[in-house]
Amino acid sequence: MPPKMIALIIKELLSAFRDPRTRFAFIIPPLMQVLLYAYAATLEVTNAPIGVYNEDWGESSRQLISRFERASAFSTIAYYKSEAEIQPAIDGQRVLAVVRIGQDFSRRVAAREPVSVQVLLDGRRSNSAQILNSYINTIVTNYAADVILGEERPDVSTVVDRSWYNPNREYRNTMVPGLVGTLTMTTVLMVMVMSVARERELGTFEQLLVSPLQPHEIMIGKAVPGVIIGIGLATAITLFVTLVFGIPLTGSLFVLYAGLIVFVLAIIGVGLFISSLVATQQQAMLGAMVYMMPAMMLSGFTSPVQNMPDWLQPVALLNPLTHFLVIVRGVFLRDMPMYLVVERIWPMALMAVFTLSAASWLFRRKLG
Amino acid sequence: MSDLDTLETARPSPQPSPTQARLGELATLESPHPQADADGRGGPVADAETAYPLPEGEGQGEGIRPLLENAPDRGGRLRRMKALIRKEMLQILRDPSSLVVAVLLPVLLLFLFGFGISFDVTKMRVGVVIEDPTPETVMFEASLANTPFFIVRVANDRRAFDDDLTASRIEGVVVLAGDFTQRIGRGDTAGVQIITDGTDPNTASLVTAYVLGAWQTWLSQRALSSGVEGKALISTEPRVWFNPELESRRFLVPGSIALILMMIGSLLTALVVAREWERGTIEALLATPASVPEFLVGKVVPNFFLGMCAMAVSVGFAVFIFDVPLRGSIFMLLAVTTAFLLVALSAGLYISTVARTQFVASQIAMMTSFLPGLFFSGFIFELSSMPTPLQAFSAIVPARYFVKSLQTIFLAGDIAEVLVPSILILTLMSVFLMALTARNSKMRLD
Repeated sequence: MPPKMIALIIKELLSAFRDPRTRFAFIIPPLMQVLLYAYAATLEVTNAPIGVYNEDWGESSRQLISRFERASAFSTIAYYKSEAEIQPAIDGQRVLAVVRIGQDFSRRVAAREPVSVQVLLDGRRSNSAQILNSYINTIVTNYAADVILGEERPDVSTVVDRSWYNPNREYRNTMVPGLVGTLTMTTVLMVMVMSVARERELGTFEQLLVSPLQPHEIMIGKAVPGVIIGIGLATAITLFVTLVFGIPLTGSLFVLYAGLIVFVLAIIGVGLFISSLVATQQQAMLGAMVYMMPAMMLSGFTSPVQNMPDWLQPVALLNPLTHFLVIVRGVFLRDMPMYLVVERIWPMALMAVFTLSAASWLFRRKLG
Repeated sequence: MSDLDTLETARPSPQPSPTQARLGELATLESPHPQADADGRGGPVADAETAYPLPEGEGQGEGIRPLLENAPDRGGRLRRMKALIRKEMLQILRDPSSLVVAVLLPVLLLFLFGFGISFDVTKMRVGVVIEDPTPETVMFEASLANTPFFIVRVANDRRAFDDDLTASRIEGVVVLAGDFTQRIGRGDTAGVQIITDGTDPNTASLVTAYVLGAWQTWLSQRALSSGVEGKALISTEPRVWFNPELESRRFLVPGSIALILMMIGSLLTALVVAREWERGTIEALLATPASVPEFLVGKVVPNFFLGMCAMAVSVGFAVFIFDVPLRGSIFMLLAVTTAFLLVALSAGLYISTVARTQFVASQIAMMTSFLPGLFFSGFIFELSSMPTPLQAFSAIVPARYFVKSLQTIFLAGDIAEVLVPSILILTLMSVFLMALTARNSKMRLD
């Protein structure tokens, strides 16, 4: 690489980090997000209040209720004495679910007649309610099995349920590695959108043009710092996440970095394109936001792409972050082999080629 | 019009020179209480203040009133506030960017939140491994394929789906072991194994629950057809109130509205004051006799209406595009929104006392409204499962109360037990923030 380009790269890195406010923005928000996602991002229901309305006076219902009391998923259990108490409790969100046991419960269990237990759930939080319902269902089914086991073999085949890659289904293990993708994207994009726009606004753009650098050399000089920053940040987050939170890195680092470089190039292309398009730093920021919001929401970071409406899924596949998140989660948790990662790398490579050439085309056009 | 009139009386020449006018502004800027100055000081200071610019030529024909008649004059205050509000309104109407914030931004964000986030797995792609095909395994596979929830692919080896699961091409694998048929007959365990992708815990739990459901249905159907009493002894009968279809969008959309309104509300006011600083028009504003509370009210009222526009757009979008029912009354919706918007706007005002450029203001507004709103509002993540200190922190996140109220108003109706405390807490929060802002905003340029 010619020394003049190295000089340009150093200059770009300096101007990206010169401002203390920007330096602050590189460290604090990513750190905050890592901590928030590690501790606060969970859809698990481990501590929910439930209510019980028992109309039955028999032995069986007491046994069933004592199993609820022992379960760790419920924080408190409220007991109701009349039906009229149920509705206000759910309405006022004092409990997320109410289990209602009918009058003839014990009698029917004793007579081995099928009986059902009503579970009333608050649909305002239907996802949590569904999870809670499956806990309640498990407790009830286990109780029924034990009742029958007491005298004869049950005619039920139990099902074994396993989760691969993340056996305890911990949200932290999947949310936090995803940050390697989202934080790298936001940071690289911010640096890139500012790089041309800042020069244009401050008037130093002309100085750059009269330097002995060719336009494509200027573009490369602007892109290389993005690659350095992106890889540096991704490495820092990976180290932090594995060392501090002990999240396993099961796959190979080589595979991770292969994906990372292509991903960062695609984002740099987007950033430089926006930066060449706009006139001021303010507009550049706005442009970055306009790209980032949809890119974050339509990436499968919060909820899977598969759950989006069918017409939106192709749009999500045009997003480099969608592919990179699969790679990151794959390499961290699933020991994803190279030949499967390649499937996700080539769409990103196409995007990188497209965005980088669009950016340099626009850059050259704006010069003329 | 106490202070203005006093100034009138002390006015030596009808037309002050531009330099004098400048001086006058500065003198007024020094003190948050222009009245005290006009009353208490004389001489050169009073001279400088005589150059005070009059808003919109008012006060010219007011005549001269004695100095002593300076009791608090509500009429003047009201008129000043009206003028300020009018000025802000005009500014909003003439500056398309605030209309973009109030109308386009909510639509864009609601679109992204509404379609981008969903916890409902409508089509679960599962691989079924049949190690030893028998009529039973074929029947069970068919019963899975016949439910609307699964897209089933069949193989006869466990390893066939390894790559698919690793590459996220399927959500789970159901293994019917080689001795599946014998085990059913014996009532033994582990005839069926469900393997899910733990990297997506929510989907993994749903896949397990649905396969289990299909399994139990199949078992009882099989028992029924063979004439054996096969119904489980105790079954649960779930009834989901307010959202029987269990569509996650129904609670995510009201939650998103809360988050969007928090962002827009604080962004609006954070930007308007920062803009005055950036463009230098703050000088002109500080030079008016408006006091701090008047200034704040002048900023809040127009942006309040803008925020209400954003809310109306969002609610319309939610009801007509996303089919979220609106079971509560418009009146309660208005009441809660009013309480919440005041918090968001005063948060924005407070931010603007700290940040004096639009860039910094928008950054702080996004940081303080978006992140806490996303994590600590109960909009997506389960508050009760968080560590206790974080749960305690969530109590001071205004979005938490608004999310709860909106979910209730949209899905359940007017439930006082949820809405009244929320409105009270939000009101307290806005009063606190307003007081804090009023204390911190000095009418000074430095």
